[in-house]
Order: sequence, then structure tokens, then C-alpha cells
Amino acid sequence: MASAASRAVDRRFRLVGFSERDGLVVRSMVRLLAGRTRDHWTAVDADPVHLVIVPVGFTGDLPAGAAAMNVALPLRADDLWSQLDRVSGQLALDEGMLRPGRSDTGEARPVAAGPGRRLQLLRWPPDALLGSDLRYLRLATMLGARPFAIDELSTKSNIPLATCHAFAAVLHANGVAQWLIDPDDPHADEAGNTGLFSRIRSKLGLEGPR
Amino acid sequence: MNQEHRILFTGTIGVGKSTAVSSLLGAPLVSEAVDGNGVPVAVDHGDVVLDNGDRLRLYGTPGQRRFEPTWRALADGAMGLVVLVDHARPAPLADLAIYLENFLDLIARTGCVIGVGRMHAGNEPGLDAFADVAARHGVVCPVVAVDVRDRAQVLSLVDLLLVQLESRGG
Repeated sequence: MASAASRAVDRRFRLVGFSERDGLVVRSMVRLLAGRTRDHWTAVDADPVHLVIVPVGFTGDLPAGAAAMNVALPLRADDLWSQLDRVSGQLALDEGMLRPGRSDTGEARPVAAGPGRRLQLLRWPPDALLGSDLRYLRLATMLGARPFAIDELSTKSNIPLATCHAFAAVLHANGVAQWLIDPDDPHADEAGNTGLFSRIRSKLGLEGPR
Repeated sequence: MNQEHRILFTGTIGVGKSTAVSSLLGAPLVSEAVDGNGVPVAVDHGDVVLDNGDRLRLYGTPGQRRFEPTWRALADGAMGLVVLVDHARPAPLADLAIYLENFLDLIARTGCVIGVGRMHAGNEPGLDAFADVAARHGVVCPVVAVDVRDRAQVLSLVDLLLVQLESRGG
């Protein structure tokens, strides 16, 4: 676990979905951890925030653009400390790597990695990132066609979720991909021309359909 | 009624378009007259009959720029594009730019794979330079080295094209 960093950043968080009593406990615990966590965390009641903390099992809507963190009750200080530092690390990475997105169109905008977010390839990755790994070649090809949520990418490619997450992190860290949050996934219900593609694959002896 | 589906292999003269299609199908190609701005132009293609009777037709486009009207005629209604680049030519990056510019509508509508042939390890420009050219044209697509005489490698190009089309929902 990281000790308080010399370059700590002031961060804002908000609680969503807690009872008044539980919320008080979480806020107090975060205050107690001040000076130990990687960043300085301050509780606020309104956006914008860097982080939204919700209880485990929370199913309501979360504000867009902020990282989300689930905490279990009763609260454990070491868990909270660990999770806050993990969020700090992710935020630092995202802040260093985010690229201009499509916010001007109102269609989508770049955000940090997280649930419900989709990765968009901005350009074909450097050869050194792909190497000779055909799985990476396939994942990059899919991401070049359209943005994907990582779980969907894993399902459709038949490549393990952990591999997809790791590859996404590498793409993002190298500035060739960005995370998007869209009101709706325009491709979510598309069946497309899968029959034709399956027939072509079958005739040419290619694996699939994927 | 059975349908015809079309994948185009384009690139400069001698890059191996017909070789690629021929090695993929294991059969010689046939020629067909395609209208090129009022002038019939002979274009090579190979066919695959799918199990529902539909026909997949793989075309090798004529290479020279004077055939641009023929390129447009072939691109109309095509389902995807393979751009072959000959790394041994004097300006392979400029060659790629010509084909991206001419087929930009087709690429935006469907998908594209760039295969760089006659490329040897350590040769410049590397694959990343070809990806840069694609990025400057707003194209994000696979850029891979290929030996068009090797059926497995050509098949891999078609596989990547299909992955794109499947990902976009056709």
C-alpha cells in the first residue's frame, strides 16, 4: 500500500446511496486517512467530483465523468485506503493520457476507465504494441471498427477479460485509444449481416463466427 | 434471387492483387469487362459460391490511376477493401495515400485492411509509417506485412476485414 505521496493532489468525492449515519462513518474514515492516502480527499455534496463512493449493491445512476468506487459496510480502513489509492493511480493515468474527444458533438466524450464506458481506438497502434500476438491484432481491429465496452470486447472476441483489460490499458497509456461514455450504444442491438459473414468464413475455412 | 457480394483488392501494378486472390481461391482468375467512364476495362476476379447460392466475388482492381472511374464503379456496392502496398517501390507511402484517397467513401462505409508486401525486417518505412498515413486520412484499420503468395497470409487479411465488418454490424 502506498504511503502519502509527496506530490499528493487535492481530490473531491461525493457519497451516493448511503444512509445519513453510514455516510457520516465513511466521511469520518476518509478524514482519518488524510496524510496516508496518495491524494488529499475532500467530501463535497455537489459535482464536479473526481470520485463517487457508493455502497456495495448500489444500482442507481452515477454522475458521468467521475470514477466510481464501491465500499462494503461495515467499513474497513485498510480496504478504503487501498481503494482510494487505486482510484488515485487510475486518475493520474487518465489525466496524463486523455485526448480530445467528441464532447462538442454531444455524442460522447472522453472519461476515465470504468463500468459502462467504451474504448475507442484513435489510430492503428504501433507495431511494437501488437508484436506477433494475433489476439492483440484482432482486438485492435475490433476497436478500430467501433468503440467497445471491455466486457463486450471479451465476449465477442472470445479473448479473456483480463487480457482485454490489460490490452486496453496499454492502448490508453500509449495515447492511441480513449475512453468514451455514450448515452446509448448505437451498436448494442445490431445483429448485422452475420449470416453472410458466417457463410464466407465457412467457405474460406476461417474460424467463426465470432 | 441470389446476390453478389464484392471485396476489392487494390494497389499498384505488380503488387500482387491477382496473385493474392488466386492464392486465396486456389484457382486462376477470370476477366470481366467493367465500365470505366464509358470505356470497358478488363478486370480480373475470382468467385466463391456460398452455401445459399450467393456469390462472393474478389476483384483485383486495375492498378493505374487512369482507371479511377473503374475503381469508383467497382467500389459502388462493394463490401470491403484490401489495399496492397509494394514496399519495394520508390514511394510506398505515397502509393498508399493514392488508394486511400480514392476509396475513402468505401472505407468509411465498410472496412479496410492494408497489407504491405515485399517488406523485410528493419526496412524503412516501417508499418507504423503506413499507419501514420492511414491516420492522416482518418482511417483506423489493420496495417500488416503480407506475402501475397501465401494463402494463409491472404486469408488473414480477409479475416481481419470480416472482423471489422462483424464489429460494425455489417
